[in-house]
Amino acid sequence: MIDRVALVGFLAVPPLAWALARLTKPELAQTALALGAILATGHGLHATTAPLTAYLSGLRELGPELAYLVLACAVTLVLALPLGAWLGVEGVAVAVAAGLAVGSVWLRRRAARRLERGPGAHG
Amino acid sequence: MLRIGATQAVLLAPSLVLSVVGLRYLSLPDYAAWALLFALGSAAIVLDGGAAQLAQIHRTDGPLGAGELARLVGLASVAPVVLTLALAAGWEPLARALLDGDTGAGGGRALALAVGAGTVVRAAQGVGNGVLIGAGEDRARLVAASAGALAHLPFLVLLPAVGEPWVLAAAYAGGAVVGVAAMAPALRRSIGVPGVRRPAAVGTRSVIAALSVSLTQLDRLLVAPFAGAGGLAAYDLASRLGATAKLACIMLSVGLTGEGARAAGRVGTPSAVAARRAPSG
Repeated sequence: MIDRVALVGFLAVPPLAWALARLTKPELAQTALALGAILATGHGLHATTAPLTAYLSGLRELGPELAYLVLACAVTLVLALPLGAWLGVEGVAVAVAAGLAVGSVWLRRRAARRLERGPGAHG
Repeated sequence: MLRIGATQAVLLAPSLVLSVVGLRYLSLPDYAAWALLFALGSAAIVLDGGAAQLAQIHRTDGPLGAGELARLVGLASVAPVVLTLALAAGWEPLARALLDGDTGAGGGRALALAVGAGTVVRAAQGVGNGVLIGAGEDRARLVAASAGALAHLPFLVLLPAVGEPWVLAAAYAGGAVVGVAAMAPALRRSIGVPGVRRPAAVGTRSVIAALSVSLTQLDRLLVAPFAGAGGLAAYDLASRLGATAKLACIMLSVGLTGEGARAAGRVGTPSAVAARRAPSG
């Protein structure tokens, strides 16, 4: 269900960003549309990990989420400078989205393996 | 759970409303300065040393001592106070580095101080929220959050006439002051003689919160040098919308934390299971 909510919610982000920018600062509408699309991808993938991190948090297993965030921050920082210098604000947004995406895919795989072992398992 | 989710939405909705209304009525340099300060303030609130979590955990165990509550508020206020002082002292070079030297027509340093003051009160509000969640005072928390959200309205009505970013800062601080005042009666009910405190490990959760806020708020520090005021404003708007959609997914997932805790309770936490499995003697 979370995946479906994320799909619908994040599909709405780019047009909403465009519409709100049109209402407030029309000259930013195109940039807001592009940034909305890029960031919605990253935040959307991040959102799909929410059920996993919530469940693991209840199990008091915080390691996977911590590792995911370290990975996401590292990818973002490595990519932000070159992409920002090359593409400007859209480049930094791509770096942020890439960090979230890489971290989210990693977390989903790691959490799936962990949950297959059941709540009592460890290691 | 619905009430907790609704309260969270009421607490966070004003930030999106402030951003949209601010973008409409402020110049781009003023809005960019506001967006940067607001993001830094939001990050400082999260860096509370685990105070909000400790407040919740301790209150779940029993009443809080008045001194204990004051210490938690003090702990949560450290990062916002340091940020406020740093911004007041270093706003000009920061604005030169990140905002093309445009510090905002409304007086960047005054704006930084106003947002900083609001951040300190918001940090106290975060601890208060933790206490009320721990006490199961969901209704009082919702009422306080609603009162705080409504307190933004007069400032938002004033903004089109004034057109200065300090109005947003005043709305931010005013909402926090009203929110804290509205939760005061419920907080008083939580004050009593504290019991013996069990050790509560909040270190990892605090690190997770700090890293998470780095991705959702401090990304503006990466954006600003490349974006200019217009790019930062567009990024701020798109990012806030994305974060709002993400919040909806997180709220839908809240119940799973309880599922995990119950599962852990049935079989024991990993460390407890490991301890049981370890050979004795």
